[in-house]
Amino acid sequence: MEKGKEPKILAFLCNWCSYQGANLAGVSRIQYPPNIRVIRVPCSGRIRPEFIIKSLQEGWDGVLISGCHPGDCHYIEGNYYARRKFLMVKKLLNFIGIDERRINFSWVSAAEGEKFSQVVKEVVEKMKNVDCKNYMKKVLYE
Amino acid sequence: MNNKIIENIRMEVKKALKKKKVDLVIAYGAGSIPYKTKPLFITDENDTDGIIWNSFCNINLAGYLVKYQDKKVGIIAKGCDTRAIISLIKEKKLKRGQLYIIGVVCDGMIAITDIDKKISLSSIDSIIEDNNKIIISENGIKKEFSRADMINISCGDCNYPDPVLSDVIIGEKRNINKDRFKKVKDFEKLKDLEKEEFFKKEFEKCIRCYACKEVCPVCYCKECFTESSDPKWIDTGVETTDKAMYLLIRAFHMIGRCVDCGACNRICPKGVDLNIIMNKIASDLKDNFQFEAGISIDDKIPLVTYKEDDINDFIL
Amino acid sequence: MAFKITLKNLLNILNGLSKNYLIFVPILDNNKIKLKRFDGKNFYTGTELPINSIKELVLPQRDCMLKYKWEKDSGYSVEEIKQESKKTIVFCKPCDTQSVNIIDKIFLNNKEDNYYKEKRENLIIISIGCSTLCRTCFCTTVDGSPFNEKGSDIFAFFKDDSFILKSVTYKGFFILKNFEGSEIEDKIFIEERNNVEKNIEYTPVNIRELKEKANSKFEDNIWKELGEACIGCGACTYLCPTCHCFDIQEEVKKNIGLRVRNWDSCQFSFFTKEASGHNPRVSNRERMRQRFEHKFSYIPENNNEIGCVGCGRCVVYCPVNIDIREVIERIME
Repeated sequence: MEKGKEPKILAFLCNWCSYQGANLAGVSRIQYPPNIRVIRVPCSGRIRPEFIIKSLQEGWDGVLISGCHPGDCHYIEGNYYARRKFLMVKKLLNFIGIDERRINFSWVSAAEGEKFSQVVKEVVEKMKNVDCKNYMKKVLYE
Repeated sequence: MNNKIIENIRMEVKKALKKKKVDLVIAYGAGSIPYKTKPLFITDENDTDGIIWNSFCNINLAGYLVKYQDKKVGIIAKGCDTRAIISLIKEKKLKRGQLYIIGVVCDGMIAITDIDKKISLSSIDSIIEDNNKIIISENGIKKEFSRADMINISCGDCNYPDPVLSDVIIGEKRNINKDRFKKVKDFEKLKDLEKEEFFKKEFEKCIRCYACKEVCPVCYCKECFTESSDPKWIDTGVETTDKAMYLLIRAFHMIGRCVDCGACNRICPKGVDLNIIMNKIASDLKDNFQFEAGISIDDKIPLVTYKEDDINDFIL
Repeated sequence: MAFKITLKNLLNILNGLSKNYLIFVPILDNNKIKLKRFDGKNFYTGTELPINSIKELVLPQRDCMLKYKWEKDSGYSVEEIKQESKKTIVFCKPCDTQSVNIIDKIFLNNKEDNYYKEKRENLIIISIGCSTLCRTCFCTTVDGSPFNEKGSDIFAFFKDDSFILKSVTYKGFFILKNFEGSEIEDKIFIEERNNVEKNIEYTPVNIRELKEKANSKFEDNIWKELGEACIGCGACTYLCPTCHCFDIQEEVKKNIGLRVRNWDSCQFSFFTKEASGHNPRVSNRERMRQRFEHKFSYIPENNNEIGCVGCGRCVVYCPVNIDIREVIERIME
């Protein structure tokens, strides 16, 4: 994505909290930028580091992963493990030269429709100034 | 100096086999060329004359242990190798009771890419180590190099040359405690573009031979993500992005397991700098979770445990 | 007819040829000798072999074969990728040249491989004779020689500060016209060859005997011993100038796709894994045995050539020092 163009963001939302929060935002007619595409996962702990790196390879400009608040996970502790994993992934990807504004994490609960739309707005706003052209993207042929 | 160590190692191996403490001992033997060593699998106590010890014992012998889960095995282990053994015990791939660890204090190892920097490999007749000097004979002419110059970067910053877990220790402990993450911290200060340039160049060198994956002692999965065709995580080609994917995903899978032994770095035929990525992971684990891989058997592996007050500030 | 030119002239001539030809020379890059595109001034003239061999030029590590796509209005379409390779000149040692001879017999016999053929026909090989052998070279053991002209289009050697060359094939003769220098008699090649060969210890192995013994030792203990040490990486196969196994993969993204041919290695554990999950070569012992039997028994049987050229790359880079020379000795016992 060149500067000024709309970023495309892949969002992994946990089924029990964040996905319901996004649903609530929709039902309540809260406006938020249309740049995200959602993949529903049972828990934020399901996310493997491969998902994030593969998204970058497929050409997504940014990734958003959202789960339940600590202590509220439907599977008790999935999001705790996820939090540790994400920290390591974010730091390592930043180390190899991928702008850290491209990988984002949030806690959104099922009742936080407004918060979800805020999160998306924030992420899209951050990404508008990021130059996403890098060597990770795979192009088969022009 | 090395001769005494070699004598002691042979004696210990003989003892262990004689007393039937072990069925098999894995040790280093002389290679067919002066700058290489090979693994020996010794079952007879009279066969110990082939064992040697020098600065070219580059591979991590702990990698072979996983194949012998039902036998009592002895192993010659440097400091980093013993940490790999701890990592394997933590992951329940080995039992402490089945191992007889002959720990050897390590002075650092020299890889082929380190020798290549100073002298052409093709005409090396012999290599003699004399305290802090490496004397390489090239076509009959002797050339001297300082040991400190030739030691591999993964060994240069090592904090654990002394075996951490062993039944017997050979050599005098060195007790080093230095800041081994300085290089990583300096690298972090670079701009994104500079980091990208550096890694692009490094990833370009890779030929996807998987030597790093196979020599790694803690890479023991029977079915690796590289073989998976459904889902197909990475393509098998050599586009830079595929190579970057392979190296990064392997690094991610090693979080908490990798003990930074540097074997992958030393045996890479093309000299890709894998050390800096693994160092960065070790540095992050230490800063954020106060964890260092392979130090204590009772430590919990960081990614399968959690604290309720873990770092939260990066979350929106 | 042979020519003698100075090194400086050689570089000038290559610069001139670069306009119409791709030129690959060994260069010293970041402390390693590699075979790379000629950059105008660097040319390594020493004894060390480049880490990559000329196999890359005729059998690239990633070779795109077909592209296909599906579009809503026009439907499904397939297009073969035209193998338009430019004429390429490569400078290499006689062992690498011999390796191309071997691979030729495999890819151009019976059914010809188009992708290989196109690149091979455009390749012009200039073999540079070695004045000494490296510690890890053993071309003389496997029916080769440092002054072996077979398979090259032009044969040359460095002597003092000059480069002496002569054409061996018509392709070479055509290129040689660009190399202006002082004419010199052909017999200098024979003189130099004798000079070099009298300083080398010849330890040739009888190929037929090696083939028969390798066959008979299929169940020998040597494979168990080697298999214990082998870790199953692909370093030997990827650096070997003769190993040529490949894997055809589809790389697909949404509605477009690419069929590629990548190098593969018989040493990988999943090389012979079948869809049922069964793997006939289940351990390193079987895979090691396969590689050596292929080189010393099957290729001689099928193609009348020994499958190893004695370059020694696998000896230097094998992480656990499995030495192919020791394997030959053990087989011949």
